[in-house]
Amino acid sequence: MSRTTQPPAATSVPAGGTVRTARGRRLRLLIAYAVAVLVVALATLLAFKLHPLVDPANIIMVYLLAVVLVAARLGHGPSIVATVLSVGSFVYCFVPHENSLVPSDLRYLATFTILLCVGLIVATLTSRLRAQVVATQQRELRSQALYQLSRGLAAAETRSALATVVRQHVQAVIGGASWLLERRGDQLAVIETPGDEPLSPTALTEANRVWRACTTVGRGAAARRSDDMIFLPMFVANQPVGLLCCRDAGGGSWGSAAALHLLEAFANNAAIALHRLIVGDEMRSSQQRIDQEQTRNVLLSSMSHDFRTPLASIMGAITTLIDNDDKLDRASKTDLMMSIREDVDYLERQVRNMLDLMRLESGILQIRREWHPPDEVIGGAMTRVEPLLVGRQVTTDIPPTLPLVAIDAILVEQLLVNLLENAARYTPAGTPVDLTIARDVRCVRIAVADRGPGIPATERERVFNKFYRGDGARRTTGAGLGLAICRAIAVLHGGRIWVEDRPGGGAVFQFELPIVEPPQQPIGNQERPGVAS
Amino acid sequence: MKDTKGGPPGGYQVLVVEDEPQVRRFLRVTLRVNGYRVAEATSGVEAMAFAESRRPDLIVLDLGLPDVDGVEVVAKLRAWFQGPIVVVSARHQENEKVRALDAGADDYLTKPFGTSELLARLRVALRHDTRKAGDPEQGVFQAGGLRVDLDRHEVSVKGRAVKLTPLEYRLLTTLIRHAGKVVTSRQLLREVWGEAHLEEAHYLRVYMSVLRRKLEDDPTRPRMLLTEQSVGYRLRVDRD
Repeated sequence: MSRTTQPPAATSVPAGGTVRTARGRRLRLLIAYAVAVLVVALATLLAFKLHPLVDPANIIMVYLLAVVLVAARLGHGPSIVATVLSVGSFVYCFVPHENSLVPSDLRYLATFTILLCVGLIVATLTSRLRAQVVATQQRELRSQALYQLSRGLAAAETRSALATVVRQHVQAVIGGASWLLERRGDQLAVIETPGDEPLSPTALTEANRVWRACTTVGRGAAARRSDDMIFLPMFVANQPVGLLCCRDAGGGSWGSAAALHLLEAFANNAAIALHRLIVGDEMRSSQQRIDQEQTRNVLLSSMSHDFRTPLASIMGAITTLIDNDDKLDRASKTDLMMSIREDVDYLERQVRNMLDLMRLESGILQIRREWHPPDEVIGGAMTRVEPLLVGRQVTTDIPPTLPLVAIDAILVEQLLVNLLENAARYTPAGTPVDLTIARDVRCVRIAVADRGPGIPATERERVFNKFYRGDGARRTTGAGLGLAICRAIAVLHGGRIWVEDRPGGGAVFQFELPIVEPPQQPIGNQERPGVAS
Repeated sequence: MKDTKGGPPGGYQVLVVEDEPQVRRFLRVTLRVNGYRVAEATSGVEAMAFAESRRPDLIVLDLGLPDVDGVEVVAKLRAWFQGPIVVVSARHQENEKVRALDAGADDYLTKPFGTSELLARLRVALRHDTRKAGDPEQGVFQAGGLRVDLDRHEVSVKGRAVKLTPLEYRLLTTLIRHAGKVVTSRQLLREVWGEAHLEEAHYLRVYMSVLRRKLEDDPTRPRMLLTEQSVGYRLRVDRD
């Protein structure tokens, strides 16, 4: 963290992070020398074939080729061996000499020197080139690893998903386990990833020590290691946000500079992603606070009107009854008492709606889906609104073969009651109300249609808002929450609700609930219900 | 106010267990006007003590008591108390209601409720004091066009014979046995299907749906087989 990242050193951390052991290196070297010897042997063979055709000066070219090849492919050591062997073979095989192995003249010393120089130069050049290639490859791998990590991190929407992404990438690149820790209060807490081993308590203690050091000292506190663990504090804009803790998979050589740099880069990326989540949380909670505040304000202004009006009228009616008991005739008393009853009904409904909506929107409410025949839920709702629908023609169109639907029946019944109540309240008395239910592959759709004034296109979205009251409903009591409750219920079920114009006049409120597979045939099916009717 | 336990409803002693003074007041007035003798308790402990010493005929019990869980009171009372218990619950206490009913309460009322509803529940509860009467499964049951001859196992609606499968018939007669009273889903499952099927409420719902199609004019506007959502079912009896 505290260092600027540099290109990784050429000698370490090969692709995939496999660790080369010393034994493997020795074996490779041995093979290189063997190949050098083999190449010189082949060159000698070729030289023998060419010997009758060309003169010795050209034969040396064959050896030059061999040396260049070895130097280019196998590096310094093998190239020196190849040079020595080449000159030796050349002098021994192709230079006429007397009895001793050593040539009589030292002319070939120059040949040897040039060959050696060419070999070393080529070996140096190629090894430098190779080092560059390796470095480029590593840079490429590193930036790819970082790119993939940051892509994964960008997609992670929860802390746990984030920690999983980091964990997977650390695993892939250095082959060890890792844990992402987040600040909770003044301590660090591991972000749990399901199914992975937990961080040991000693490691957590150590992580907290590193954390305290870096929060007090600032960014100056660098990564710390202990045994096989490494602790990387994570910063965003000099603010500590957490800590990445990695464990070596074994083998002991993971702590190369390149691996460390890569881990630091990972930690940097993870820090930014974690910070994003933290900021997101803060924003959400402050948005929630604002929403709550707004709702409270609307609630208060709505309450002051919607509650005070009926309370005032109840108060008036009651005091009239008490104070004028002897003066009032029977009809007037009944009238006043009925008025009280209506106001109380209204207040009750208003309070109930408000509580319902708060419960629905609080997020505390868990919907309890169970399997229900749709007609039963409709029947329940119809029974409840029956008194309001007196004098209207109400038709229900329900296909007899509807399957069970998985719903929270209390809530869906409430939704239906609200829609039917609205139809009863906001359309002229005596106009019909039609309820239809239809099913397609994915959903069940229930529609409540009326022959009222309809909903203007501009209001069709807003009628489902809290405390919204359509023009037609200005003075009718009890509105403002019913449809908001309907929408909350539909949304809780993963469905939707909307309103359309009805051909021929009126409005159609429709809601759709997605279908889940129904359960097995009921018990006692040997009696085949419905057959004997 | 009569002191003798004479003809219904006169003279029945009702114990009202309710901590809200205003609600107690209204219950006291209503019940007295309608010929009940009223005793009051404001907590679970008080209610238990009173029930033991004075042996009321009927208990109206608010589930939201300040001292004890109302369901617990029901369960404890049921250990020895034979008379009907009607529980009163606030809204959003569906679970409480069902628990109280399964613990042995006879019926429930949801606040706020009207007087007529209260009196109807009490009447049904007193009439159906099955623990006393034993209510034999015989004779003829008649309500709202439905006629069930329990001896001959014949069912008809408005004079038209209806064929039911044995399971449907058992379901119907179970409801008849508790006519006018709510019967919880568990209770119905236990009595019709047996102990092993208590959690399979959707079977019950399917059968109720079929039964309604056979017995109701319009199954989506039931007159007799009423659903008390997430509590159970009630067979409506005329005038209740």
